[in-house]
Amino acid sequence: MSRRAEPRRVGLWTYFWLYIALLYTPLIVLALFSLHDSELLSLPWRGFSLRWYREMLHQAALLRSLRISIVVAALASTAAVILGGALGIAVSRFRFPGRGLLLALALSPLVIPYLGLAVSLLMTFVALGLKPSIPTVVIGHSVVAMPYALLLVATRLLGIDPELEEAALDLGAGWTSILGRLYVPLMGPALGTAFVTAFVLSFDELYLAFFLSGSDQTLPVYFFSGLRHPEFLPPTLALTTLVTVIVVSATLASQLVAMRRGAKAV
Amino acid sequence: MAETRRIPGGRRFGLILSAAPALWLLAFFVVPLGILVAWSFQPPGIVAALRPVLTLEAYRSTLSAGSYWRVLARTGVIALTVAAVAVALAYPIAYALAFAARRRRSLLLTLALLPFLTSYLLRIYAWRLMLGAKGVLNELLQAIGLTHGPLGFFLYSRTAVVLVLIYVWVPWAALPIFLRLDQMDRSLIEAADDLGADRLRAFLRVTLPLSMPGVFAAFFFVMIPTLGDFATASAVGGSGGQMIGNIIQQYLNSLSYPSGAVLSVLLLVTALVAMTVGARLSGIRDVGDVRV
Amino acid sequence: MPKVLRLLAVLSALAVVGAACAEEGGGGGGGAAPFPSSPPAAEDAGPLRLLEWAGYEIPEFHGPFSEAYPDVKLEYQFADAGSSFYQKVATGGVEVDLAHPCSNWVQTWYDAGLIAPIDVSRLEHWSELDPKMRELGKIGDQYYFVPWDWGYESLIVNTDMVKDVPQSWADLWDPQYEGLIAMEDFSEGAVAMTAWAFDLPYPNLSDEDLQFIKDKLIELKRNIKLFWAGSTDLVQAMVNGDVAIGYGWNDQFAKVVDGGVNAVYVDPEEGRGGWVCGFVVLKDTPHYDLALKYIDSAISPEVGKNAIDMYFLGHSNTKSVELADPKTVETLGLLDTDVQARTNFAVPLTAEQRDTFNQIWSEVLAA
Repeated sequence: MSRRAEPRRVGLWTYFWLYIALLYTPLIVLALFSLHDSELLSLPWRGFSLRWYREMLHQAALLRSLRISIVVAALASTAAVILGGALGIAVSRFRFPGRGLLLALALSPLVIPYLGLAVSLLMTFVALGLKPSIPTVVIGHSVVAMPYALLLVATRLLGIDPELEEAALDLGAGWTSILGRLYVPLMGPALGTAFVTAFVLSFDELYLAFFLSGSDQTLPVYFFSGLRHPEFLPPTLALTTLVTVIVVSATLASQLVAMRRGAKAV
Repeated sequence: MAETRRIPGGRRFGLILSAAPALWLLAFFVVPLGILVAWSFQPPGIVAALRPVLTLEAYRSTLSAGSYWRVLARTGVIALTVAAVAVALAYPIAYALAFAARRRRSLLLTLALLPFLTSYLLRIYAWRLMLGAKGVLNELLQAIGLTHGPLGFFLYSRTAVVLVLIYVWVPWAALPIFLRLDQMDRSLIEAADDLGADRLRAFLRVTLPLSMPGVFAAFFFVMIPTLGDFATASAVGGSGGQMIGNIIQQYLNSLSYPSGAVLSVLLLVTALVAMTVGARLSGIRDVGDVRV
Repeated sequence: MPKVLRLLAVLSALAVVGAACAEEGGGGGGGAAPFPSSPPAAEDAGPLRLLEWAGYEIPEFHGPFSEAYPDVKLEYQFADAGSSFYQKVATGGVEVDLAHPCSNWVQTWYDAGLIAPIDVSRLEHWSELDPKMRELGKIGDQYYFVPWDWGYESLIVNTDMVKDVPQSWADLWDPQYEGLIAMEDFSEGAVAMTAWAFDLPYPNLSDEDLQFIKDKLIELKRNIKLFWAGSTDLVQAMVNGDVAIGYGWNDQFAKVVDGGVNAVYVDPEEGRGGWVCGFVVLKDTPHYDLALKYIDSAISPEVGKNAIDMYFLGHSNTKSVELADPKTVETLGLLDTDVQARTNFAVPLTAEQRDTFNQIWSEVLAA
């Protein structure tokens, strides 16, 4: 480890924490309004109340949409990471016919207005006799999440010395074990990030879900459809705040634990 | 860069790895897109199904209207601005994360990404609240005495769209930059130090150039989706902040598929051109560079 | 670049294949169509599938039905705009027995061969419905649409922010309203409003009329601060003071007033706009009789009272206002028969007309 004094970088960290503060401000505002004793997301303040949290527990459709969102996101992310990751390895380490075209194609979902793809996909499924449901949304999300997984993996693998594969091959390793023992560990953080990215993308995605989820609505679709009635906003707000608080606490807690364990190990 | 060498079996392995993704993309991306293109060659109007007809009428009537070129230009400007600013703002974040003490790093990374588990629509609503005439920002400015009345341009304007999109995209932009910085060889920076360069010099001459692929990836990560955005524009854009995505959604919602398809194709082509130009400029042949 | 050409070739080939394989839409039926047959409601176990507006699945809107048929499950799917309703059913993605579109779309549904005629003799409350609204659903000799909810479209004006309240649609173009208006993102409404303002015969407009309307709307844009698509957007914007004039429905007016704004709901010289939405029965439904029973329950005064009191909607049954909260009825203007008489309720549009208006509107939005 470097014996040089690590620079304190005060300016940089001030910037970082300012950024975090700004990032979370809308969330705090939302959390505050989930406790607002009124349907309207506006001042003047009408007092605190837990009624939206109570209300939210009675809304079966809202809770169901949350469950569906989680299932869809989990499935879509898995698909995206496996498919996108495989492609990421392929394009960043190998040369094969059609590579350039495939890369361009794989990155193209980033460029399509999701609405156009959603309608196209819907018509395709209908022609095949498939009704909009959880699997169709999963497919749609996996397609749009794939490029992110691809880019993350490829960027990660780019800087790596080609001699590693050569060495492995010289030692008699087959490609499968190179895949498992060389690429996957190297990509580890990128895969993790890709999964989280894909999950978040799918969980929050609106347009594909709107056309492809049919009666199994995801949370964003439920929310969006309910916009005609202000009564929907506060319970949804309450649910989102609750989910966020739980997730934030759980994740931060697990990180703190990992940190402490890491510190002990070192 | 090291000269590319052929590794035996590499080509075949590459093909095997890409088989499943390729098929998936073909079935669920190319074919549906083909259907979209087929729609753009249908006679304009509200039709419930695809008919075996081919005509350029939809293209002619859509492309001859000046408004669509104007909105495309507006969209392009917004996308470029948002991408440039978001990347610039994100770089220090990525840098801080990459050079942070290892122990704290994943904690900080998580902290930076967590807000995205909330609904994007809800966060936009919060911004509407904060940017509006009675919103926190205006109240603050008036309290300080900088303004004497609410400023209307913060909300329902092109400015609002740019601001909110930057807010949404900065964390996304930080990711690829962070990943690139993370895997960078630190000894190069130490070498620069040893050679007497001050920290700024070391950054400008070593770190920044090496992180460029990440920066370019971040730029495209932001610019390209922004080209197709319409949720933000419809929420906070007002009448002056409409983007081409809004028009496409408009058409598709009202079932004028052929016209919507034409604009979608236009958008696609624009993005493709942008990507090609950008790739040329940045030498992102890197992603294409093969080491076999 | 040969690669791009290859890509284009692939896409074109697929386009042709896609076109060849895709189904054709059905044509509209002619003459008196027979009612779909189905088991009588008492023997029908359901489930009954509905395509509804989000929020309308609440039990208060189908009380009598659930009481009479407690074992029948109601399955709801949702859409949020007229075009959405049509698109979900027309492209075959969604299969339901009942849907809840609005009167301006009925012709389109009929032309696409999606809906069955309604046997009004099986509807107990049919005679209690507003006669004008009933006729909106008549095609040929049969009824294809049962009206349920209705409302006005007019201007909600914040009298604290605007002293010179517009008295007619044409007044909107006055430069003093620059940046003050919230307009609905609805092509038909915008075109209709402009037509009334400048005395053009909506919806049968000539090409010159349409060009004029388009130019006028582009001119209006500088007065328009935002376009709203969801009801909440308009109410929030007015309550927050981001806009002073809103093109909106009377239920939104009630909510804006509820939000603490001093507002009036204008009765323009040319007459207000109006919308009527209601039920259609899908042609292929195996639960026809049960569907009619559901509709009958929905048009009953008990349900009507809930629609008025809870969601500030007008109800098609003329008896409902007697049961509802009088203050709400007054705010919504449900009893102003003279206003109603001058109101331009949404007329059914053909697909071509709607498409033309959408084209205009898209250009206006983009400009």
